[in-house]
Amino acid sequence: MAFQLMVVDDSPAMRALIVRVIELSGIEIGECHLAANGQEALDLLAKHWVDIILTDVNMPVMNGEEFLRRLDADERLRDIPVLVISTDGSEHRMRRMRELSAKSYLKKPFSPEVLRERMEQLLGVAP
Amino acid sequence: MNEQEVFQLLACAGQQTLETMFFTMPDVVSTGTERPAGPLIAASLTFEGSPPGRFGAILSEPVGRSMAANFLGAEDEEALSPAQIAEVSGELANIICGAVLTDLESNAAFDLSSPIPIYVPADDPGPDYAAGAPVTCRFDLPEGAIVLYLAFGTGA
Amino acid sequence: MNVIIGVADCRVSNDAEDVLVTYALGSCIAVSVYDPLTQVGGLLHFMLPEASGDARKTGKSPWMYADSGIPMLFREAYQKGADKRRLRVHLAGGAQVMDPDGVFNIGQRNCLAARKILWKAGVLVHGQETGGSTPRTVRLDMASGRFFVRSTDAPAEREL
Repeated sequence: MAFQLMVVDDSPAMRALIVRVIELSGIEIGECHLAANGQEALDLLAKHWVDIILTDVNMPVMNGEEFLRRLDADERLRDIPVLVISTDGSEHRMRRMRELSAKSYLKKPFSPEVLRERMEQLLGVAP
Repeated sequence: MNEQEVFQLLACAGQQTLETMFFTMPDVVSTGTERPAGPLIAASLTFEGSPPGRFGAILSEPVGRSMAANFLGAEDEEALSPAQIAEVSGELANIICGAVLTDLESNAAFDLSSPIPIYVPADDPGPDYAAGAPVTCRFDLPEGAIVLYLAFGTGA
Repeated sequence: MNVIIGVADCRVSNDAEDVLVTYALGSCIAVSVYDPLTQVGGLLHFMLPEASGDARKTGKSPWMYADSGIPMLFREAYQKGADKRRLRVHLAGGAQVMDPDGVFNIGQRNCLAARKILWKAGVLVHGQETGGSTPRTVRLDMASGRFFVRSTDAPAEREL
């Protein structure tokens, strides 16, 4: 069963790294959609279903917090598991993102292996 | 928190980031502020929070190239574009800054601007990151150096 | 049968009766690979991150260094029928021994070198136990692909 993913981050370098981890993870991937901010992500989600969203917090146009708020408010989207990947490891931010139904929070810096483990957990696949 | 304590946080966050995502450890860690030799990549950003401030990373160009190859998993450093190297340098600044601010104030939220990386030619002194007496941390590596600087306050 | 791999050495096997073992991993790193489908596996015990120009000239064993040893380990595994996409990779070692002030940090540098080479080669690590200050012993069971570690300060064997 191939999973559809979405990566939301304003850094092309970080998007490239995350995509590389996804490709090397051994998880069966269908499509991997990329967005540079929350608004682009919502536009893509209007046209494509995904099984998991990996999103940054600090982004221009629409940040991760507002993006999660919009996902929460949408019946169609609110149950998609979200992994937040962010430099902001403050208790305050983590708590806010969890209240907005982020399923998991990964602080930068992180190793490729830890990212793979988190995705496996959220997708319910065996390592 | 005094300057020495901030330096320790900066050094620690920098080293942890370099090891975890760039597979690198510095040969020497110091407070040195001397401009690394040769062409540079300078990535700076500002942050809103309590307090606000600015952060930057100055990398020797060969260090920036090597770090970009390590981060992206590229076996051929020479095949990387200047844009890729600049983007990774910006991300390095972003990650270290976020890690330091998290350690400084784990209960407060902060917002980082998107880092702006620029190339600085060898004969250009580069940004005056020492202005405003920031806390600095220098990592010396075989290919060159990385200098981090962190300053608090509006107009820092 | 136990196949002992010494310092700066490597073995690749496709014999399900073999158990690849290496002892006294101080600052050195053991890199283990295993293809569960073809039951091909290998164990490398390297000492240093990079072969310098002089080392290449004097013909020091390529297994001594991460940058020569790890690619060769993979090539030999492929020659025996392993497939990169199926390989399970483990790392162990990289302790800080005989260097209490961490002046040289060879163990940590070895670990970073191995991780960098693997990442650039497009391989994620499945399990790792590195750092600390005491030597380790590891074994790779060729029948199952299971990888075990024990150390002086934690002698009970554990699976990674």
